[in-house]
Amino acid sequence: MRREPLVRSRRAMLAASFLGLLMLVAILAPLLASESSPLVPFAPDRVDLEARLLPPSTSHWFGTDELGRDLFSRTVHGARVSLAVGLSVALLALGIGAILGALAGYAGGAFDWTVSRAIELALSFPFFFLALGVAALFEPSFASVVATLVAVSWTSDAKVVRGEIRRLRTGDIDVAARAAGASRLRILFRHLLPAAMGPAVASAAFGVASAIAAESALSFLGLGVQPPQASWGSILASADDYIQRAWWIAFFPGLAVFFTVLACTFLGEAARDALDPSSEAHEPV
Amino acid sequence: MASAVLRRLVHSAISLAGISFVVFVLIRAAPGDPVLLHVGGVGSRGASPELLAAMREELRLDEPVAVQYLAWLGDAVRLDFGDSFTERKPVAQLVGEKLPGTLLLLFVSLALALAIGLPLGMLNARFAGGSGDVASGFAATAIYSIPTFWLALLLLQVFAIRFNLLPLFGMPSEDLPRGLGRMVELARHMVLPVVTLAAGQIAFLSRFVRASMLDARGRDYMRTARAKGLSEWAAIRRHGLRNTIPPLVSMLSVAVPVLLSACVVVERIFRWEGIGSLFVEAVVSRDYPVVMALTLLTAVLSLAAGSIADLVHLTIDPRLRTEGDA
Repeated sequence: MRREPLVRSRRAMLAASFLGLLMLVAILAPLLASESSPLVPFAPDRVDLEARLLPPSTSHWFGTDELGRDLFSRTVHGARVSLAVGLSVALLALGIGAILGALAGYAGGAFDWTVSRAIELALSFPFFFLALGVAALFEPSFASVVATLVAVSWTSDAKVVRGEIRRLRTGDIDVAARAAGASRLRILFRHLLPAAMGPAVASAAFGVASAIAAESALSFLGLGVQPPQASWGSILASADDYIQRAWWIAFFPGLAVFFTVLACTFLGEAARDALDPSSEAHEPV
Repeated sequence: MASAVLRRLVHSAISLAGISFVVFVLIRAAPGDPVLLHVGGVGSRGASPELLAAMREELRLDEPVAVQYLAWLGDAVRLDFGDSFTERKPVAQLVGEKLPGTLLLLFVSLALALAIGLPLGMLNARFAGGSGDVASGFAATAIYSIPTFWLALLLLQVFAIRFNLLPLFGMPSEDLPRGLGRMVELARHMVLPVVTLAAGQIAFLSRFVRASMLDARGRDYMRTARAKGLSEWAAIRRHGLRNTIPPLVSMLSVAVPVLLSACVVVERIFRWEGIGSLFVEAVVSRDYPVVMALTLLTAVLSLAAGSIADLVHLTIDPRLRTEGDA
């Protein structure tokens, strides 16, 4: 029955520190890596054809790509895009999913049926096919990537919130609020929804992780963030063509995606264990 | 339960009609004119406006979307998806050529994931809390977090480029005569894509099996098994395993859409001819008929996996049959 509080889980603290550091690097990217920086004197999109496909060295820590651009600088600047995509997708999906899930769970009827079919469909359909299909509708850009990923990922938040609302709507909170004369919408959004958000919020870190992974895969296929803007995925897009000659193009941005997704996952697991008592069932007996 | 299966089939049909309509409408609202792309693809520069209009009419692009959709649906139920805009042949034929490649990857990686994930999960459950269990729990989370394309590129780098043990990518040449040599060549080309696809599933399945085994461990039938003198391992193997199979079947059906998604990236990196790489090409070139057919096909495959799981449940779990159709 031992429950570790969030702050006492070492793994979660390590993950949180890594993400905090990463965010700091992303925010400070223009200072860290630009023409005038003493540390990494390369702007992310400075082309230097003399320095094409150089392996990692003391001057180019992560090597250079096929246009001679410094990959450390591009990876650091790419963190801005990748983190921004991850956070905005997770927040927007949580917001839209919570509202639709709450309305469906509370109202029932035809609206619930429609939302439930949409949820079921999105969850049984290959996520990435759906994302590619939606991505094809827009000219690829930062906004299109966010819109695409929100469109295909709000359903898992909606499912969780809908389930919680259905559980709560006949409970004490509802009875008390109704006795106090609150309107149905007020009961739903002021009283039930805050109580129902716990599990969905706890899984938000997983949402960030999957959005970052999906962004990099979309950009890798050329349907996400477009060059010359650097995201971890768009750096990888050219890596595919140079895999036999320059392993470093793929290695470092991929490593960045891996560590970030892993850190978000650890944080998500810790948050779930701390907030959700039912996860105790998975502890060793 | 039988009526539940029936209800599920009806829901699936409604879902399919729904998703095909949504994709149909959205894809026509997309930027990029297929006729211009089509003409560009054929290579005739500066086509006259009359020709473009004629092509629009031929492809039914000038009619209202609802009419276009009903016409498409009518043909689709007869497996006629029209001609590909870019490949100049029937979509059904094109998809038929690419589908086996993807199904091969899908089934072999699923089998591999099961062959490793199941025993690993059982071992982890048997020694739950031990250092091996903790280490493989950590490894599972790590492997599950590795981006598919990165794993693929790393495997390529190590096994095909650095040590030259396996072919870089592609499929065996068509010239190779059928027979054992061709099979071996195909297997060699399959190793890296299959390992890439299976890795995440092995991680996921082993943790899932472990959790359900631990859940089973406290149940009465396990206590009975131990009481009649079975060792812990024998109790897990004979009684725990059996009760893990139904949820495992559901998990395997959920793995199908996940693996199909991963196939998009894996096929592209390994230059494997399948519906994943076909889908990317179709999306980029706005080949509407191909996008529609593949959208429907992947939805059918995913829903079919769910229905098969239901049927397997009915077959292997007698409790579901005696409970009646309440």
